[in-house]
Amino acid sequence: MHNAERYPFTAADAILGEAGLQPYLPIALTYQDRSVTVSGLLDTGAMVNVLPYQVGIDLGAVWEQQTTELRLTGNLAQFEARGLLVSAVVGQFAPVRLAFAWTRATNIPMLLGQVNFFMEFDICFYRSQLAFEVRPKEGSA
Amino acid sequence: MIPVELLNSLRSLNRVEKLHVLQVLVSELAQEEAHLLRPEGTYPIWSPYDAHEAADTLLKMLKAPEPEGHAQR
Repeated sequence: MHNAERYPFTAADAILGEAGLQPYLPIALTYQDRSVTVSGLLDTGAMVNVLPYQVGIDLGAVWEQQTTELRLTGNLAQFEARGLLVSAVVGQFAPVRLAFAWTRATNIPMLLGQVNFFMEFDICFYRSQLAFEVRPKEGSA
Repeated sequence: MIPVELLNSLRSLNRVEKLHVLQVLVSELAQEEAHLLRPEGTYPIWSPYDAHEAADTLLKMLKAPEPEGHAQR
């Protein structure tokens, strides 16, 4: 079994103090030959991973070339979304494939949701300690 | 936990001073509460919490063979 890596909760809104602390995970994404490092919000309530439009552009993805259209829900329902597969590295762990709903929305956090971030990684939240731990699922390289 | 020295110092205050400390603390707590939820503020929730169809589509993408020369590394 892999050793877990521990990360602190970070401030999304400094005014809110402790109420504004959220579990953001630094993650390196690679699409074809381009990589970017982004902080993704661990969102157990999100059915899917969501990639903000600008991050996809920074990765070199071309909107018109992504032909799998997706329909998101909630506040994201008003924006078009398309499926995008990328390679992702968390900390010292081996790369995994993540499937994102690449949305036209820009002013949103990157969301790491049930499909398929939480299928690849086991997460343990210690909110009272303002920390969380990440480890790859059992049986992974 | 409140340090014992602080409690002892507070206990040594007279009645007027204690009331003043109380007033200051209550006022500061009220201000902090006001920052937590602003009446005119909007708090968008971006989570697509019931996007089952999108989740199913993404799972199928993951299972499909990658096109030649288009694999992410």
